[in-house]
Amino acid sequence: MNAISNIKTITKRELAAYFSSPLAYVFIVIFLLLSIGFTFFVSGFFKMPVPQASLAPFFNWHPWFYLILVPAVGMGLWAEERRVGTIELLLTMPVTAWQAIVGKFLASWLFLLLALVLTFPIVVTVNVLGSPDNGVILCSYAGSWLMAGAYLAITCITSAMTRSQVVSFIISVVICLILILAGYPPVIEFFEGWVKPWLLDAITSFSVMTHFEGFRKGILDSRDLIFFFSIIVFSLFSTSVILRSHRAG
Amino acid sequence: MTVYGFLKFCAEIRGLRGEALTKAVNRVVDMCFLERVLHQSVETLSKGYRHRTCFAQSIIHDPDVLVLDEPTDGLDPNQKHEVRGLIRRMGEKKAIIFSTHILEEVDAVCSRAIIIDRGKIVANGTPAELRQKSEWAGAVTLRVTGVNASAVNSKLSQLPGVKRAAVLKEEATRVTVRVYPKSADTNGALARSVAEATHGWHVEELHTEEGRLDEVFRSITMPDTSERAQTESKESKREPA
Repeated sequence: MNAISNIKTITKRELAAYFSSPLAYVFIVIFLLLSIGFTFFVSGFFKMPVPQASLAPFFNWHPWFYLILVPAVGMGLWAEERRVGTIELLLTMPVTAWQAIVGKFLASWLFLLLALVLTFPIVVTVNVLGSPDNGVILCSYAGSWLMAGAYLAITCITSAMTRSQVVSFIISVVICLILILAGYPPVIEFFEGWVKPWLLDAITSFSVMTHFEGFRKGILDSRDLIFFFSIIVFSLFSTSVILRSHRAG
Repeated sequence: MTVYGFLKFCAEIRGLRGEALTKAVNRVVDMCFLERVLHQSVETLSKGYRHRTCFAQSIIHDPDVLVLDEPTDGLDPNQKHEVRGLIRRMGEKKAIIFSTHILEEVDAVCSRAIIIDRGKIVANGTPAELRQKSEWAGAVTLRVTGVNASAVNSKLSQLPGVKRAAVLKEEATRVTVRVYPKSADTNGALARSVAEATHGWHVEELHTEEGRLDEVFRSITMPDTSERAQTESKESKREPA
């Protein structure tokens, strides 16, 4: 009970911190502009070969937007605290490192959820223009949010590793890029043929693309859920190990 | 994050809720004079305000024991005065331990002082007790005019209970002499005998010195100067009154 209220307090503070700086507003505006812009102009929302009431062109881009935007949201989580020195204050408060980690992660994750929810006009649009399968759309949203959570958790690790937000950003972008590329068709084709099938399977099963695919089609596969949640849990655990090592040193 | 938001967060994480939280925040804001910056972002505060904000968060849950590391470091004289007043007031009910290199602070707020030199406690007592260790403690300083310096010196040196007398300053017709007692606790006896000895001289000033802490500090920690420079540290402790 106490743990939960501590997490809630930290989450509240972090969320308030987002909205007291321009980051939140810049992020939301850019995310909305990008996602809508790409849907209509790059994917050709209205010019699909087979016209259909589907948000596939919208969700297709999410792994790529998140590649840049999620590390931007998460890079400051610990790096800034360490740079300014407030991390000592935070960890000497009666909260455990775990509570602080989960609280901060939840704050950023909820913030990403907010950005995602604000794309609702496009859902309204397809519903007005046609009759899409709203179950698939909801499932895609859930998958998109989970994917964002996985990226964010990875950014948590890189943020805890360094004092510099920029370093944290770059490293997490690279790791997330690897996670995307492992399932990106051109990369799979590159490995196909000369790599043993089980190895190819192993590589692709590490990709967020592969696991996001199911959600996008409206399939809620427990393997995909486990994949995203295990990335999140593992990353947050690594974050706690890193923070503890700083504390000891 | 504003000062108010920060203090509220600290109170919440300490488990305060509702009215108790508001009360606690208001109390520390009053105590640390933070009203003016309450809705200002913490990053934009001056060092003094930042210091006090930090101090405020550390007392928000009303702890019984406070450990402070150089609480007045980097503050301007007014802010120093305020922080010392704060420590003195809080020390009435709490145990406060703080470290400092500023010895006037020890006199101003401490009920007990401990000098630590290279990790060892070398002195421990009330500031008054420490001052007694000074060579100056109980010394009498005398300023007279119209007398020859060596005459003054020789006369005073021969007084009973006097260890030695030293001429501090010699101007045209004015001599300042300090007379050191054999034992520190003279109860004003030395001042009286000096006063009697000055019969016939034109006395401008006569007073008994209290020992000075910085001098005590130096005499205790001096012996090994080169090493001392790196490790010298002074800690003071204020106990609940």
